[in-house]
Amino acid sequence: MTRCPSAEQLAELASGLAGGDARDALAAHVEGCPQCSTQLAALAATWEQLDAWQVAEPRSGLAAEFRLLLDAEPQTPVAAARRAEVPWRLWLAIAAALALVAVLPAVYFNGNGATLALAAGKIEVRDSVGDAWRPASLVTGGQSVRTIGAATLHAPDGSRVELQSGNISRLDPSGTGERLHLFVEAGRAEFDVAPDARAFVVETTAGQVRVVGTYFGVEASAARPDLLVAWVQRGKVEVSNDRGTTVLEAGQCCCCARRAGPAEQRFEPGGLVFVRNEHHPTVAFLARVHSTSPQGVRVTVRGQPQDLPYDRVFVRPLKQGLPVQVSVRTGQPLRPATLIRVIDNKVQVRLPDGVHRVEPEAVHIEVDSK
Amino acid sequence: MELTSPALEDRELMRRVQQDDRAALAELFERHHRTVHGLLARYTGDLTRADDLVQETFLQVWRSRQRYQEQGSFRSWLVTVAMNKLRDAAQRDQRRRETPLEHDVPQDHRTPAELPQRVQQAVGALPESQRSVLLLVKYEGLSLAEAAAALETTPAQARGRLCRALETLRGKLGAKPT
Repeated sequence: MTRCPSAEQLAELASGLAGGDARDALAAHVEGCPQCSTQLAALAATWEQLDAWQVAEPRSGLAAEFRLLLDAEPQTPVAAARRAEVPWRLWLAIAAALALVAVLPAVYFNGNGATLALAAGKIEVRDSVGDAWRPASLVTGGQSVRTIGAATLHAPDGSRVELQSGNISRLDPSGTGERLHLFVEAGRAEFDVAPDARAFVVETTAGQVRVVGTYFGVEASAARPDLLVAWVQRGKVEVSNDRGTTVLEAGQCCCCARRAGPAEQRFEPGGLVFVRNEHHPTVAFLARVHSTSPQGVRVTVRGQPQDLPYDRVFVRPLKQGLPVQVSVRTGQPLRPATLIRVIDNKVQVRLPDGVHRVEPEAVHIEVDSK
Repeated sequence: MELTSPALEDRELMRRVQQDDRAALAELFERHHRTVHGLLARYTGDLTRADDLVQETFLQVWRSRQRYQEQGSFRSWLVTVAMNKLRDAAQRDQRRRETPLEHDVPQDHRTPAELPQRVQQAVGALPESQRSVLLLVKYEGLSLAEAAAALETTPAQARGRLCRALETLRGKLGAKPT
């Protein structure tokens, strides 16, 4: 090759994509051409620099989670399912009718149809009158179950309950083949509810979670019986207590206290929450939720992730016109302002000198955070 | 037993997936999810989101299993599915850009601290068409032809984009010949 190669050819050579005869010809030219040699060396160095960008591994357990999601997928290929598609209004009507059917048996039946069979691990059970725990492979209505290590239980409809070590739950006798009702006294439990299950109700002292066809978890603490933590991985659940009801969707989490409605305690990735100042309980700043877990909320504070327990974080609806204190730039003193809206990850506020967009962390709000 | 190349094994597994074999897809997930995760994490800059998109990608493989044809490698078809998932997610984000206060707020994109900022920023600033080719070829090890197929373009265009990307990065990263 006598003519200098094109920039594209040099880039191919630098990135190792040139092959065979073309590569040899290019290399031969470059060897005798100082200009091309310099350019190739710079491109090759850039290509190597890119190796510095490594990303972390996927989270552990992703394959197991995927298997659960895959198991919940219908067998029918989507294309075939689409052919059989019916208008959404009809589905809505069918869903409403099914919901009614699912609720009615709970009202009119009071049998002992609820059972959970041990699928993995060890459990002990005791009935409502006995005081001794005994090994078991089946839990029936009215019995309490205690796990030794982690255990998995199967419901007749294919739903699965994963109980954390030390979990104590009670299978309510009012549960029937149509409806399972589990009361979690202490510990964490995760539920993979079959899509065609009629209804599944999980209750703790602090509230209730009702679900059809989803993957979710519930944790109740013996030390804090007023708190219920529910998180949803797939599908939807409805969380309720005597102060209200909220629907959680995939990725959302709720730390539900008895004294407040669940909607006020719903966390979701990307959502804004208040983080209570440790030293000044009535002062809070806004932060963005990164992720949620049974242990608490990960928020982004000044660009850094920070894990906070649920008692440091709370959600309130943000209302336009809310009086706030903001520091427009880092280090500047707080100034009174009013909230306008959230846009592009920033909070828009009105100050005497005009409208400003500030970082959520710069907005301080004096609230009764109790 | 005849030894087969991984590409053939992927195709064989995909044939089983087409016969509704979920275990075969779980095996394909095990083999390829790290590659897909790397692509999605670099694209979004958000590891958690990449985890979710990986699952969505493989679920889409299950749902679209009858559309898979044994032309080209399984991996390039998988990357096409992942790229479509990315586009869908980007469109969803676009719709969520401006949100009333009392409803949802836009997604926060985490920037993992462990990523070398300069390279990440420089690649992130490339036009999307160039960035896509670079990510597929450099980090996922696809050939230009495979990357072009995944991006629904021609190998010649993919080559041109890769070249322009490398030129731009050379300017931004200030690489000196070694």
